[in-house]
Amino acid sequence: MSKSVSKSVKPIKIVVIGSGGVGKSALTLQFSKSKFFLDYDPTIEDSFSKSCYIDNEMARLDILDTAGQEEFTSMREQYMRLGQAFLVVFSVTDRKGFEEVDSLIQLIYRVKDREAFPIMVAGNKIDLQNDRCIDQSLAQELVQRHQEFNPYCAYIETSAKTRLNVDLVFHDLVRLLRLYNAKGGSKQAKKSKCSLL
Amino acid sequence: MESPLMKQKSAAQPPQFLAGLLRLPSRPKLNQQHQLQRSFCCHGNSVSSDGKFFGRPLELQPTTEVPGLGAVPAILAACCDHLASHVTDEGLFRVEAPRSRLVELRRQLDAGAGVGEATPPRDVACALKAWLRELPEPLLPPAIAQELAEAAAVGVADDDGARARDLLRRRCRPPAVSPSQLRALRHLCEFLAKVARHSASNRMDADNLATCLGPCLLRHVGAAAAASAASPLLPPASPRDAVARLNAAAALLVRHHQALGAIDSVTAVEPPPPAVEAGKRGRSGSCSGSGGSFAALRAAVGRFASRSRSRSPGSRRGQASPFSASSASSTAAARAPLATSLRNLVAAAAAGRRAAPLIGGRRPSAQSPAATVAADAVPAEPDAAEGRRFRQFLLSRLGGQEPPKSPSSSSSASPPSLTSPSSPPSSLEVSTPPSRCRPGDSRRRRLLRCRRVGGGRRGFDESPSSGGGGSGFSPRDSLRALRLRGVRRQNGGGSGGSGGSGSGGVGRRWPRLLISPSSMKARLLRSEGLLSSARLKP
Repeated sequence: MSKSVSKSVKPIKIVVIGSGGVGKSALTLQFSKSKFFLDYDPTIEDSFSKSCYIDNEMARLDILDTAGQEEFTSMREQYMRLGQAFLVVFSVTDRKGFEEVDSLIQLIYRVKDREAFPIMVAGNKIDLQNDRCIDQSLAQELVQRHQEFNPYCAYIETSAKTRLNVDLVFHDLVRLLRLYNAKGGSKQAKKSKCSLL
Repeated sequence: MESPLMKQKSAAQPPQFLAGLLRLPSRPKLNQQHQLQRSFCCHGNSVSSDGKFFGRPLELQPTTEVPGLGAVPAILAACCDHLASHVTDEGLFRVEAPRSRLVELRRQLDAGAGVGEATPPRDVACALKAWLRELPEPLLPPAIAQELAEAAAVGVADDDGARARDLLRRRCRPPAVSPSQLRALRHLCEFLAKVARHSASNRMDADNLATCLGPCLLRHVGAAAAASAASPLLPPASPRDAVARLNAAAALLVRHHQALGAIDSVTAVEPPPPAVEAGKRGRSGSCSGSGGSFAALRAAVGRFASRSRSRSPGSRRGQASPFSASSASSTAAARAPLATSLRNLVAAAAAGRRAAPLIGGRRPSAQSPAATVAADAVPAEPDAAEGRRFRQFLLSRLGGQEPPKSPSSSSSASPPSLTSPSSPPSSLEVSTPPSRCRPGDSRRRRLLRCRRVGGGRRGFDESPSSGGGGSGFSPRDSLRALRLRGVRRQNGGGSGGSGGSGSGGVGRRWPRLLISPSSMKARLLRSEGLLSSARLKP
């Protein structure tokens, strides 16, 4: 069954980005395999695929899990060009990851040459309440700042370990993308080109 | 229609008529930010620095004496010293430091102030990585890195890093690597090995370290494509694969750093052991490839065949060729090797599976003197010229190259390379070491299967400091393999549905890749009798 459906549905390319060691792979694996892996392998690049129903509509997700380390930033633009929706992950226990969120979102706008794009910001590792150093309000504030000009941006707190909001974050991202496509966002928000030349 | 774009523009931009004329970028900040990011991530040349360390040639940097090693760059010594007391920190070298703090630390280091006692270890690790990235020359020359990558591709199947150690001992010496580079490299690798020894607490084993540090150490993200294009063994790969390949090389470097110590006193170069010398002569006979080419090809084909029995790793993005499966593990080099060579080999395999002994007797029963004849009689399917070229390639590459572990044959065998007419071409059987290959075969398969399922980079010997006695197959691997296989079975039983992974990849990571019945891969598998109809595209 999944075969016939997956043929008819175009896959949605989701790119998971964020600083190193914030739990991008954990989140992705929890979503796609329903497992929390205790491995600690830094990712270079992995891809997963999963089909599911979101709002009674079939969706085939191609999820690209990327490297967070600075050394791999040269690969970033390449996959950003391919992505249709982005999941920006940071860890609520890690200030660096949070600081990076803003610049990553800016980079998405830049690479996509759009002012608005479906972006989900996920504050991961909220099971580690004791080590928490990024408040929910802080993250909300950041996202609200972006929402002023990008309505397709949202924030969710997740825990890959306890599977809290893991499905929700991916599903909401797909919803955002659908909304974006339905509004013709791709045409509307495209930066206007020089009219003189 | 009120677009968010309009709102923003009216708020922040100059008057409408000006904006219309000039079309100023609506957010000029982006540009700068991007530049900043580039300068951080790129290969150092773009970062100009007036300081003592960052971006300066190694020879010009102030040094410190390290007991037993000599002068190494002061920054390296200081960072390693500082980090030495924090080796148990989880994610050392993986977790990054806030940029603001990093900039400050760089300035401090560049001024020669050293590392403060209270500096967080992750900052120091990040600074060290940045320093490595920005060296005008990478610590390990790209050519050697490439050879190491080739060694890494075969390392798991063939030996316990003997090839890598041999390579390091042989190649990492003053003419190719400058003494200052060598000392720095050795100091760094010793330290990394120390970190890896504490992997139980910091969770950074040699592979993980290599993934994080490899790009800085071997400087390959940009150069890898060019390097792998130059390699006769490894096919051109996506940047991502090339990175994985060279990361494997970095892992070997960390594991076998003792081999670097063979040139302990860099000034006094002791004569190398005779077997190694012989190997060296053999190398010079054929062109530029590594001594590992023979085994690489053999292992790659064996691996390819055994892999294809179950599922094939392959990402959706790498479907240009059925061979170009990209993978996260450092064996990407071995997983997607030899696409072009294999294509030719398919022709040979189709002609009666007689090419297998040619590349090392994966099929010992078929090993007969007829093999050479068969190889000669192989119809060159794609076109005759290509087939001939391939045969020449096999002869020149495989004929005289044997694994460095068999010292008896290495001294006597002469390369029947076409480029060295002085030595008469000996029979190919001379170069196939069946005694080494056969007993290891089942273990290798087991290991490979396990690696395939686990998808990890753990095939090499686990303990970074072991002198070479590691079995290459740890209990942890098998446990992981079993666990993951269980998972897979569950998934399969669940029969898709909305919850199941749409693709059901190898182990936990790889989507299933169906192959077309007419593809080269299918033909190769069919000729090996390994093709099940479930794997074919409808």
